[in-house]
Amino acid sequence: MKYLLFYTPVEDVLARAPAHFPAHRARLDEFHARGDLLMVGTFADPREGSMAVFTSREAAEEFVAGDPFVDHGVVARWEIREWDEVLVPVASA
Amino acid sequence: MTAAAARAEVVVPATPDDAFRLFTEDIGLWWRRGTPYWNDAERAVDLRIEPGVGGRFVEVHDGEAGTGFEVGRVTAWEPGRRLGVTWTQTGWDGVATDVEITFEATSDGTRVRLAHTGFERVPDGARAVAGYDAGWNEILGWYAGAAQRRKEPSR
Repeated sequence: MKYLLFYTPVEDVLARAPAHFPAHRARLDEFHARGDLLMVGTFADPREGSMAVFTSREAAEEFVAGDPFVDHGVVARWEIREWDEVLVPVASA
Repeated sequence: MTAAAARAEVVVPATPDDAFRLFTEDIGLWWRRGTPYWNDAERAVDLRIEPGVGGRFVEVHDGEAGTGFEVGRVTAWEPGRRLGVTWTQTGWDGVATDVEITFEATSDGTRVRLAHTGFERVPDGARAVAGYDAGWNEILGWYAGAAQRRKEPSR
C-alpha cells in the first residue's frame, strides 16, 4: 500500500509559490532522503496541482503538517488517498 | 444540572478577517486527519465549510464530489466577526447542537472564542460536553499553530 498526497493550489499559485519554494523543496528532499517520499511532482500545468507518493499515511500527514506551501496559502486543499499498487516487487510486498 | 457549553479560546497573530478566513475557507488545511475528531476517520479526506448562511459544513469522503458526512449548516456568517454552525455527529440521530465562534481584535491579533451549546438535546449530553470541551481546546490549538506558522517566514 502507498499513500498519495494531492495538492489543489490556490488560484494565484504561480505568484505565491516562488517565495516558499526553497523551503518546500528542502522538505521534499528531507522526506525523500529518509525514504518516506518516493515520488513527487506537479501535473503538466502546475495550476492543476501536484501529487506525491508516500510510504505511509503518517509520513504524508507529517509532511503536510509542516509544509510551507500549506502554511503560507499556496495550497487551497489537500487530500491523502490510499493506493493499492499492483506491481509490487515480491521482496517489498 | 450539567455544564451548558463546551468552550475554548485562543489569541492568534492575525487580523480578524484573516482569522475568520483561516477558520472557514482553510479549515481543511489544519484540521488534523486521523484524529478522533472525525465521524469516519478512515474515509474522511477533507473538511469544508461552504460560505454564507445555509452553507454546508461537510466531512468530505469524496474529494472530487465534495460529498460525505454533513456535520451541520452555517447559521451565522459575518466575516471577521462571527461564525455560527450547527453540529451533529454519528450516534446523535441527526440531532443538531450549536457552535458559535467570535473573532475580536486585540492589540496583537484576534481573540477567537468558541462556545458549543445544545448538549441537553443529545444522548449522554453531560459526558459529551466534557469531551467536546477538551476536544475544542485541542482543535483550537491546531488552528492557533497554523495561524502562527502562516505569520512566520518559510523554513
